[in-house]
Amino acid sequence: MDKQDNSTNTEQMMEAYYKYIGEAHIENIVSELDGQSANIDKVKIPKSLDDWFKGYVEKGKKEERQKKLMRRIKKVSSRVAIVLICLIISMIVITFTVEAVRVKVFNFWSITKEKYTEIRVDEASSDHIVSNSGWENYYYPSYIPNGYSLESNEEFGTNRILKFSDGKEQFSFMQAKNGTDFQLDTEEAITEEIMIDGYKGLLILKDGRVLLFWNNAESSFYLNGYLESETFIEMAESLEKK
Amino acid sequence: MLLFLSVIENEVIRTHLEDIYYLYKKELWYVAKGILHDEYEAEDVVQTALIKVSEYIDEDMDVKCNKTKGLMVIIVRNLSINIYNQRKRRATINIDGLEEVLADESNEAPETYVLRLDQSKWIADQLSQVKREYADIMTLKYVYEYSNKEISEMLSISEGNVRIRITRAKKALQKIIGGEISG
Repeated sequence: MDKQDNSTNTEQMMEAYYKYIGEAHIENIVSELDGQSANIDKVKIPKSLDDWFKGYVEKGKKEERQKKLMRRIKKVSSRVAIVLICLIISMIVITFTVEAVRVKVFNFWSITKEKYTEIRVDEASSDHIVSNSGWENYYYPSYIPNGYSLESNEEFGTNRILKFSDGKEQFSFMQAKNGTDFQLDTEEAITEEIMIDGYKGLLILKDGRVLLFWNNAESSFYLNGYLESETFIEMAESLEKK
Repeated sequence: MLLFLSVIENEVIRTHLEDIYYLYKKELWYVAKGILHDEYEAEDVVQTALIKVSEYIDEDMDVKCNKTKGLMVIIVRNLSINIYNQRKRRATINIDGLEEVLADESNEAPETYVLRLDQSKWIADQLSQVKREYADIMTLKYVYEYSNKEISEMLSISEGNVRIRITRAKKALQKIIGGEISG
């Protein structure tokens, strides 16, 4: 055997010997404690130590439960995610390959995108309404912007629409009895409350188009077109009954 | 109350720790109070010992055997001695003459150790009489097979201190076997 082998063997033997001594030391410790068992039995452990230990164990249990829950959520959510992705992909494929489905899907989206502001001037809620008039009389703006003239007029039940044009641009003036429902497109529009002859009106600006809605004691009106809002306000304030 | 950094998550290990606590709490408290003579410090030491040992419990451990009991007592005892020494503002280890000790390690005589196998308990007792920490640290190293790093974490001492204590313990053992130290 060479010197290195001898050294290794010695080392291993010594470690085994130290282990043997260590084991004897443990037996000594236990014997010593057994010899003092009478005193040890009389020991009163402070309640704070017991409480601390219970809290320590409980905290471990709580963290373990939370970790288990998180693992479960992760597992479930990854499966749900996979299912959702498969569903979405299938929907996309079906939408673009089957026309009937495509039409329905696009119609669905266009309906949900529509947004209207519904306005109704109710006789009971308005401060200025005295009575409703019939449609024998109608309102006409005494101020009409330069270059514009009456192009057409239409009647739908109690609603009357007058259309004005300068040959290029057009705007419409509608009037109806108070109590008529109006659906005004206010989605992504700028709206402003204004007063027209003492009545509250609503100015709606969207994509360059101006819509002015107001009412008086008898009727509700709107002006709709691409003119300046000040022009529409002046027209609104110039209404005369004919 | 100590702030603790780790929490037991494995149910089996938690059960083992609960068994250890309820089986040995009186012994541990007794050992700690015996050294420190202070209930609050003794409580802190027992808590620390439980937290530290929880990192070394494995699922196969037999908590009711003397080996586990011995381990808990060794940890509590050494932690108590540390606190006691800190309180007294004494260094826990005297590193004077370190070079001499390390140099002497190469002069072990294997035959001398083999001759006294039948007196292991006496030798262990003698080693404890020289310095209890020596016997404890030899036990942690060679019976429980903890690394120097693990022992240093367990006993809240530096790794350097661990190495020095082991060296000194071996030296003391050599002297006991050689008859230089006897009871």
